[in-house]
Amino acid sequence: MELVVLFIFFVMLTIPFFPAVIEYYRKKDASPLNIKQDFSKDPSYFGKSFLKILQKSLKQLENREGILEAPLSFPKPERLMFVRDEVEGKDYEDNIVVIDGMLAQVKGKDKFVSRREVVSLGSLEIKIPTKARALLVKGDLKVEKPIDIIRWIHVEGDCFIMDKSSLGINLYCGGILYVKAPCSFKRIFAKEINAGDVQEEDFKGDKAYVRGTLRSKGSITLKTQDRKMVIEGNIISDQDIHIEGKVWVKGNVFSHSGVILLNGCIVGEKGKVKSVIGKRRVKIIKNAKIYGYVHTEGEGTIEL
Amino acid sequence: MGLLIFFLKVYIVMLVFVIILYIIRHFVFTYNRVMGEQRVSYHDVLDSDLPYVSVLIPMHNEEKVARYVLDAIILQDYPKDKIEVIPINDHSTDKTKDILEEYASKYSYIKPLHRLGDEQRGKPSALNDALKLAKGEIIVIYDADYIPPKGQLRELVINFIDPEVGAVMGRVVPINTPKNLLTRLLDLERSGGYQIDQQARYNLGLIPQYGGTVGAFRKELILKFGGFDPEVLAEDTDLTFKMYLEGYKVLYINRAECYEEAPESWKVRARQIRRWSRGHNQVLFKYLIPFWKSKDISLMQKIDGTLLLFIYMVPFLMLLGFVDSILLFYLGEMEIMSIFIVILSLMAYNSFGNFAPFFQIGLAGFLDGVSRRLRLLPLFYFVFLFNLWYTSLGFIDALVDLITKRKAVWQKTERFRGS
Repeated sequence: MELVVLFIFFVMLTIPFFPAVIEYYRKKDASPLNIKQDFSKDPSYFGKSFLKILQKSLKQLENREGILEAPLSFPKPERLMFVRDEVEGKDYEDNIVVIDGMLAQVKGKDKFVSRREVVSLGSLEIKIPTKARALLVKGDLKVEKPIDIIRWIHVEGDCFIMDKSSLGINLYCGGILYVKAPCSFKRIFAKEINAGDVQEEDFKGDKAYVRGTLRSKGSITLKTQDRKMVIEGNIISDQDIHIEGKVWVKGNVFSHSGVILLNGCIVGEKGKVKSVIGKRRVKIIKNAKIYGYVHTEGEGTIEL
Repeated sequence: MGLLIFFLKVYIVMLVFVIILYIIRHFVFTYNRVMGEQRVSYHDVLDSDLPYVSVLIPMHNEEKVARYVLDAIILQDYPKDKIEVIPINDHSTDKTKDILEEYASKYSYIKPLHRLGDEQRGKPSALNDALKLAKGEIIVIYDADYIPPKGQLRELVINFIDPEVGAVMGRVVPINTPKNLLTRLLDLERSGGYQIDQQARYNLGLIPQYGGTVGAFRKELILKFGGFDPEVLAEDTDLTFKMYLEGYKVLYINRAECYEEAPESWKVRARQIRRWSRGHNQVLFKYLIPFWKSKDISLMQKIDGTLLLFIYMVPFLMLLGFVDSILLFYLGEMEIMSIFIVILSLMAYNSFGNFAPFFQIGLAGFLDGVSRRLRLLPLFYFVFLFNLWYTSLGFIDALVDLITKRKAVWQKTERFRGS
């Protein structure tokens, strides 16, 4: 009896170690944690990687008409649908659509809705309400009707947003981005982001200068009326940052909470890249110009 | 005899409270990582005006690993006109010097420093010599066995746009995890330490620790401090506390992950953890009082900093506690207070885990998206005993250093890559 008790005791004592010993010998999960060694922060990453695969695929296609099985360069079997101006049928909903010209009509429908990527190898004008997973444009993009993009937009030229749009989680614009209608976004990169009509010339004349970085644990409000202000540094706060009026921040604007840019401010300088980051929200209201990058994990809006 | 038994009992009770304090600390950290708001660093900032950076890589007989770290630095996307790399050959007797010269001849921004004379050896002295040559306003440090990813320099350096940031620290991930049981356990230990502990301390505005590698700091500050103290073996912890005493912060970036080579033999690990403990306790003796006197540090930071300073002393206290309990057992005096039986049980249940208890490592595995390896967790019971012994020896070393004014000698961690 004592032996049995002793045996049970020994088993109970060692039970927690059994899975450990099994895992040690079987090595089911022994690899190093994965670190992406080639990771480099690049706002055009989504579009570039997609374009790389697509171009490889297109090179192998001689006639680009109708619906074609994409060559094997894609990670899984894909079909490419080539269209010119008018979209027909239902196939566009689940295939990658390559448009030549403009997205203006969908036969029998008043809007274009796709679960996949829409690609234009030249410039593209969108003249019909559009919803898609992603949008890739090699030339300029002109949006004249509302668009709702789920993932990313990649435009290598200039980009004009003329109607209410949802710009997905990442918009990359290789040229100048003009926003003339309300938008929602998470991340935007462009050489120049023009939300409204602010010019550097507006800052000519008398102005107050702040040299160096403004750093606060509390919120920061910079508001000018008649006088102009130039900040030769960054603005960083643990709380909200509110910048209103003729304020030109030549550095970055970073808030662990939210950022509001309102009525005529500029962030960054021509030829440089600077960032506006608000962890919870970024609101760009009426006039503002940003050279570079805008990012939020929460709600990003442009209200005009 | 009665007085001795009284003291033995009081000691046990005090120790239980200390352990519970640490368990609460780790629980708060773990809870924060699950439920709390996560504080971001500045790594999302894109800025075309980047500062000039000096990358220092201390090396002593690093022929097995030198090429890997240099190749990884060459591949960095940081503008090459804003970077200089200073590998510090600290009295190497192997082919390290030849390797460094070979790279210097190919890349103009690699400028090796050879320390071959009678200078004091060791990482702090080597860094001090390199700092005299470094032109960068920001200094980045990598140990020789590290392999940084392509974008890491930018991720570390961009954080200095915040003038309150004195130093930044990235995350260390072992690359040789599959090698043996020790490396697999160290992989879990590192996950708990960085993914949970460091990030939670950063989230809560406490004291994230600069770890001496995969990190960066402002050169002007270290020069103001008079360089690294060559008598302190934990120059990283030393710098952390100096930063906070000067009113600066250490910022932790969980996303700045970098591979390292974890020790592959228990003997090497024993030496490493003993050296860490000795160095860390040197810092404890040096900074505990100034830290509490400082007006720049908040009360919560003082509490967290104190718990951090004592973390390599507690194993020694626990070792004494084990001896104490054995004495009490043989003296027939184990009945201390009935309620403490419950607390003692809790302590026993929770403390086995090298002070990064099971729940902390378990959550780290979950956040890292790995689960099966967590089955190794019960084996931390043995790691706990191993660490308890060698950390205690390190504490005794530091105590002897303090009393006898003995000078500490730097001991390099042996490398295994390619062996």
